[in-house]
Parts: sequence; C-alpha cells; structure tokens
Amino acid sequence: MNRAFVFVVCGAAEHLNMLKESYAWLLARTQYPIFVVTDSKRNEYPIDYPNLIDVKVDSSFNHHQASIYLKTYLHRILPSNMLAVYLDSDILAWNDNVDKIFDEYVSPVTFAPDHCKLKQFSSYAVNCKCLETFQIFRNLVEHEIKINDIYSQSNDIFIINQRRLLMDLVANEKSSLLKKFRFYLRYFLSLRRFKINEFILDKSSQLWYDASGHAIMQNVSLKKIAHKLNLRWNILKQEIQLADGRAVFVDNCDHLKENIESKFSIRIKQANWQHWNGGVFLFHTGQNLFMQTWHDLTLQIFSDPNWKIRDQGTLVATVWKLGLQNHPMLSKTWNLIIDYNTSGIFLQDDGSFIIKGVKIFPNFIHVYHHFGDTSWDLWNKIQTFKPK
Amino acid sequence: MCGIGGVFSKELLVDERALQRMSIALKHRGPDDEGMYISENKRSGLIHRRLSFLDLTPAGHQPMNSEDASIHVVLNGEIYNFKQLREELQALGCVFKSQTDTEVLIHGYKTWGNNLPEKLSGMFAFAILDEKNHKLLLGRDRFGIKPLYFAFDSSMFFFASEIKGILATNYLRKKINLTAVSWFLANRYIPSPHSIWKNVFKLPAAHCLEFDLIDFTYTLHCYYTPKLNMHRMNVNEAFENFHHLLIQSLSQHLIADVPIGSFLSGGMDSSSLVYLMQKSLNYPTQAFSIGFKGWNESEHQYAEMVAKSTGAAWYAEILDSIQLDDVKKLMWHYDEPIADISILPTYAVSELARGHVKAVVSGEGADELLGGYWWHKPQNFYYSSVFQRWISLVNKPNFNQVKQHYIHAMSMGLFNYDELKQCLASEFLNELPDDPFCHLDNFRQDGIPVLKQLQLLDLHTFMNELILTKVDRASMAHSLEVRVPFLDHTLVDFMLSLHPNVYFNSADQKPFLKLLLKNHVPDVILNRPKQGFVGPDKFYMNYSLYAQTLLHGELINQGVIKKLYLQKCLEKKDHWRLWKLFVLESWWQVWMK
Repeated sequence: MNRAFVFVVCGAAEHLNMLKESYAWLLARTQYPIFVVTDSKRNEYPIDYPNLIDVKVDSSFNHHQASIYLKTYLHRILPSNMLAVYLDSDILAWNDNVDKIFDEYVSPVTFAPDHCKLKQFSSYAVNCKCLETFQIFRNLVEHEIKINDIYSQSNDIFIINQRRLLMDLVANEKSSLLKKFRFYLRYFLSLRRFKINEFILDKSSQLWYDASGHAIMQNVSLKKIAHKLNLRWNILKQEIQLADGRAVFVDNCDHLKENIESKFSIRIKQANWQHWNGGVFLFHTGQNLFMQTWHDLTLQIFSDPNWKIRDQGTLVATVWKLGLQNHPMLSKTWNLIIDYNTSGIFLQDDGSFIIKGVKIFPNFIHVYHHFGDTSWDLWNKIQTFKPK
Repeated sequence: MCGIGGVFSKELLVDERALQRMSIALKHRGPDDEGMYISENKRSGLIHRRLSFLDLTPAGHQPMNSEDASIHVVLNGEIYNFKQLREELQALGCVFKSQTDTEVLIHGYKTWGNNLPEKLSGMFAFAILDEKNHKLLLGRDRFGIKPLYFAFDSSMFFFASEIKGILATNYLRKKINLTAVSWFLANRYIPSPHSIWKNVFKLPAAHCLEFDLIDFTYTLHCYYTPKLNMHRMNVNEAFENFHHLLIQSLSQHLIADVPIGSFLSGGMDSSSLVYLMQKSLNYPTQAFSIGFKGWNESEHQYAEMVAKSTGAAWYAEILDSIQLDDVKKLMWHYDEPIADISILPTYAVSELARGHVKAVVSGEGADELLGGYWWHKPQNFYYSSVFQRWISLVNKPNFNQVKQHYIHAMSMGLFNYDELKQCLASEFLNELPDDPFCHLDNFRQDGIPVLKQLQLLDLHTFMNELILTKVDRASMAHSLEVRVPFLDHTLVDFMLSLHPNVYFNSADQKPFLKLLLKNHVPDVILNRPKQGFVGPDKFYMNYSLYAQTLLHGELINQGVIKKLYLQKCLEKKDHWRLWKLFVLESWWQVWMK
C-alpha cells in the first residue's frame, strides 16, 4: 500500500508562506512523498512542489471554501489505494518519528482530539450570538483590567515577554490541585514578598517585579471587577460568570449540537463530547464513506447562514452519523497544540514540552495563532529545532 | 451458545487455513459441531462452532444459508422469542426448513432488514452475510450478554466471539492500545468499543454494525436504549407484574432439548431462580455452588439451605484457597486484562456445573434492576458527610457528583489521573487520557433520580463490561452456557419504568425478591447482608506472590510501570492496586510475548 503526506493550500500568501515552512520541516524528516493539493489560479503567488496536484474548484467558492472543498475531497484527488496523512499548514514535523504515524491508522479514519470539547468549540462552528455575547463581557472585564493594571497596555516587548513568562509560571504553579494548594500555602506564609522563580510579588501593593526590579504587572481583584460589572463571582472556581453561570472566559454553548440535529437530523447524545481536530488525520483512499459523507455535509453548510465556513462542525456530524464517536483517536503526541493564547507551555532543551505540568515528547506540533511571529519567544525557541 | 467468526478481504483471497485456525481458537465455545463457508469469489469466509441445545439434528448446522444461497448466517446465543417470530414470518409467507432460532434470522433479515435486532429477544451475537447486496450485518444483544469483536485494516475485516479468534488468523498485526492500559487500571475493564489492541474493537451492546463489502467501511448504530419512566405503581401490583415477567422470562430461558441447571450462591438472586424453577415451573433443577474452606461466611452453607428447602439437587465444591496463579490461565481465556475479583470462583463453579449439565441459569442483572448494590444506598455515598446529606435533601447531587461516587464505588484501588501519572512509565504518559472515566459520560441522563442514574451506569458499564464478560469467558472456557433470565428486556424495561420508591428501600435488600421468597426459603437467606461471589479478602492479599511476580515481571522489564511505585504499593500493602497490576502482568506474560 502506498503511503504519503498531504497538505492543502489555497489563496492568500500568508497560507502559502506557512506551507513553505511546514513543508520544509516535514521534508527533512520523512521518507514518504508529500503531496500538495491546490487550486493554482487562486494563489497569490505561484507555488512549486514535486508532487503538486492542481484542482480547479468551482469559482463561486471563496478561497477558504475552496480549501475546505479540497481537504474533504482528498479521497478522490489522491491516487487510489493510498494511506494518507493530511496535515494542516500550521503543523510542524517535530522529530524523526513522524513516519511512524502510519502505524497509528485504525480504519476507516484516525483523527487527533481537539484541545477543547464540543461546548467550547460550538460557537466557532455556527453563527449563534454566543461568541459576541462572551466577547462583549470579556471586553468589559479586560477594559477594567487594563485600567487597574497599567502594565498590560505596555508596548515594550521586554515587558510583554516578561509578563507572558510570569503568567506561564503561575499557570504551571496551579496546574494541579496539590500544586495549587502549595501555591496558596506559600503565598499566605510569605511575609511581604512572594517569589516565583525570579519574579517577586510585593504583597502590600500587589505589584509584580522581575529580577531587575522593574514592575511588570499589577495584580487586580477579579472579584471586585465582577461586582462592578454586575457579574457573578464564583469563589470556588475563582472565575467571573454570566448570570446563567457560564464562565465569561470559557466559550460554552449547545448551538452546534442543536444545528446538527436540526439540519442533518443527527443527534449528538453526549453534550460535551470530545470532538476531533481536523488538523492531522489518516485516511485511506480506498475507503470513501467517511470522507465522502464529510464532504457532502460540508458542502451543505456553505450556503447556510446559520453555519460558519468551517469543516469541523460537519466533522462532528459525520462522526455521529456513522456511529464513530468512540473510535480511537491519535494521541496528543501526533498533534500537540501549541497555542499562543494558552499560558503555561514550556519548551525544554530536549525537545519536550511541559503543558499543565505534564511533560510530553511530541512528534508533530500544531502552532495555533501567531505562526511565524518572531516577537513570540516560544516561536523563536521552536525555530531552534528546525531541521537543517 | 457458540463461537462465531468471519474474515473478509478486499484484495487477497481468504485462506481456508486462516479460517480453520480461527475455528480451532474458538473450539471451547462450541465443541459439538463446526462449520465453514467461503464465498465463491473467496473474499468472504464465515466459521461457526456449535454448542447445541435446539434441534440437535444436522438441520441446525451453521453457517446456515437462505434457499437462494445469497444470505449466510452464524449465530452465537439464543433467540428466546424465535417461535413467535417464526409464526409471524410464516404468516408473511416464509417457509422454514429447521426448528432452529438461527433460521429465524435469515427470514427475519429478508423481511425486516437492519431492523431485525429490535424484534429479537434473547442473548445473541450474530453475523449475516448478504452477498447479493455486498453487505455484512453484525448485531449484539441489548445488554452485552454475548460478546462480539471486530477488527479492521484498510483491506481486511474480521469478527469473532473472542479476540483470540481474530488473532489466530495471523492476518492482523497486534498493536497494543496504550490508553487502554490506563482504562483498565482505572476501571478494571476496557470500555467498549475499545479493546487492549488498538485495531480490535468490541461491538457495543445493543449495536449493529453494517459493513459495506465494496467500499470496505462500516457504520454503527444503536438499536435499543433502556426506557426510563417514573411510574408510581402500587407496590403489590408492581410486584405481581415483576413476578409474572420473571416467570415468563425464566420459562423462555429453560427452552432447550437438554436439561438446564442453575448456579446457586445462596443469595436472593439465584435462590429466586431455583425456587421458581422447582416450585412454579416444576422443572427438576440441579444447582451448583462453590464454598471456601475455613471461612465462616462461605456461602455454600446458605446455598445448601436453599437447595434443601426447594428440593433442588445440589452439587458443591469447597475450595481450599484461591489459586491466584490460575489468573494467568484465565488471561488466555479473557483475551484482555479484566480485574473482577470473582473471575476465579466463577471459573471454578462453571467447571463444576459442566460436569453435569450443558447450560445453567444465573442471577446476573438482579442487583442492577432492583437496586441491590451497596453503592445504590444514599447512606453510602462517598461524599456523605452529615452536612452534605442535609444539603442533598434540597440540592440533589448532579451528574458529576454521581459520577465521582460511582468511580469510587467501582475502583477497588483507585487509579485516577494523578495516580496513573505516578504509576505509569513515560511512554504511557503520552497516551494518558485526561479523564480515564469519560466513558461514563455516555450514559448521563439528567433529571432522573440518583438511583436510576446509578442503575443505568451499572447496566451499561459494570454489568455489561465486567460481570457479563467474566461470566461468558469463565463458562465458555468449560463449554458451559450461562443464561440470565433477569436480563429479559421486557423485564428490564418494566423495572426501569418504575419510580424507585416502588421497588427500592435503602434499609432493606431487594424487597421484591424478599416477597417472592418469603416462607419458601429460611429467613436467614432473606435477612443476611449481600455478599459478593469472591471469597475472603485475604485470598487477594498474597503479597509474596505479588512481589515475586511483579518486581521482576514484564511490566517492570518492559518499562510499563515504575518500580518505585510498585515498591510503594508493596510497602503499603495496597492489595487492590496490586491485584490489578498482577492481572495486568499475567495478561502481559500471556499476550505480549
């Protein structure tokens, strides 16, 4: 059986550049061919790869729709009888074990889990108003934080990075119940100054200082902000909540589930199911039912105003339609999500990442947001692992 | 009860020798007869091992085919309503050539298609190969009484009653499922549809799998969900209905051309069955029990009382001790690590019974239906401080609290995320599930009483995955069929339709069974506390055996668990965690060589 990796790219230079980067990482680390599927007429500049497949997509589709069209149609585009691994363009081949991913294949398809669950993802797949509602309150809270913590508005790259590092450390210090307990115990037992690595908190002023004595962050009372904005403060979870009990900073709704049921008559029986991530998956071009169903359902939402143009909502629908909701997934080592917006991610010198206190040796990393951002420390460190 | 299997290939020709190996691997499930079918194009093959109860003539031979030879069927188990279905189908013009329940599947499939399983009552796992439509349909009974596994790679598909049948073909490359090791340690079993092998699956209970032989892909669908209601029926009326349905179910379970015996533990569940067989159905019963020497609480003494009072013929074996070494032998039968502590006594009682009969009835399911487990009682909730109990009067526990309670009730040496992190070596940590108990979320139902939620979890997980698997493999190891009358779906639906106040009393054990047995068995049977079928705890505290097996075992040698963690368990004499590790080690030694 033939084996190959495949990328899909279409349209904007940003995506073409991203592919250039991830292709280079993969090329250095795989023995297998890498296909690139594109609609060349749409690309902002011409691209050239050894196994380039050019497919003309209906011109009524925008570039984003065209990419999704190609991705969910790969079973018809690639040669038959091929075991293929699809990779998003923001996925980097992290070590020389990448070819072992083919051994992870469990028919008919094998996906990796997403970094969040269905309720959290929901408002990113359908056009409900939840995201906007959350955003309004987040803006209000963030505005209050900015007023109280003047350092959060700093444009100084040094302060930005120091703040990020501090937040990562605090997140790591609270990554388990035991650690959290230890954190607060240390806090309460310390007299005037509370220390985490090189950072020092002056307890009376609630100001954080870095090793060189520069103030970088003002602790603010979220409880006070909640009260000021007429929101709820949950003391146990230490979070600000809307009147209905949903956390302001965690997306949470059932609208995707409801839309899947109303549009496709597919019932999702587990309200907060661990859905799949479409960034890395294995499929076989001889087994078309799954991919074709995904493709067909996805085309149906392109013109539906209730749905956002994404393939992941219809991926959920496809899985449940075919009864594969308990099908095995790839472990996170095959799609370790490195999100700019998530605190507490550390890259070690041995190539492992520490996330929420757990050390993981990934094979592929999935760089969410700020791919290629050289002002992001972690991205710069990732670059030091780039194969020569 | 039988063994079934099949191999389907997209490209290669199916090798007859592979099917033969599969058949041999499942021989213990059906030593009476064997059959094989290979399609004309040699891309599909079915095998069957028969343990015969009905129509002992060659007419019951399987794989059985339709008249036009386009449909081929293999069945493991019993369809108890096959006579009614047969009449229904005959009225629709179907012509039968045998007296078997298997033939009902052929005509039923032709008539009702994929809706066939909904019409069936019983314990079954079947496969229907429809060559005309290039389709294979697999089905499994509502509660998972009969097992069915399937495996799949891009160009071959397999199914069998036991995993060893699939592996015996030598076509499939075993890939261990590292996450499943965590699931096993956390739950004592590996939840469906997963198995210890990454590419082998359990067909979940109450599910059908439709396999497209051209596209080589499958779809799964669930055909039955227990129907819940909160009907506040009068207690006497409810009991009469329960009594009637149980007798009806029991008589169906006794249909066979050979005598059926009964397991008898001396508890109320099996005692009820023996009493009803002897007294209500006038069925001369042979009852089988296991006792433990030198143990005051050994149940055989109670079983003897029940046998005497009901007039059943009684056979018992008294064990000196539990030979934990036998676990290794059992791991071959179980195919997967499974850490129910009654696997050894169940194996022993099955051996005893098979010396006298081919099939027995057993009381599984009664505790799930009637609220008989200790974790059903509100006073035993793990978070039940006096204060929390007061709170719970006004603020009912939510699903997450019920789930936590259930996890603690099931754990026997809890392996939660943090414990697994300490125990497992680094390769396994990459595959560690965030929530090793997440399969319980599949059975969440909001707005129902806590007891009902617990009963649902029991039916879908503890009973389905652990108890019934244990019973099937232990009995099949001795070619003994075990039938479970409490799990007739009409009876289950009826009990689940009742409000808990009708059948449950937290201060009393299973009131319906007490009513049934009152004045028919000695009072001591009715009033003694519930006891598991496990023997004394001290049998499982063999620390020298644990140390000897584990310290130099494969789990340490192959870097599955950390030695430091093991030493800590041994120092703390943490016998339940050691028991699970011991089972895993025994499985590893048998299957990972």
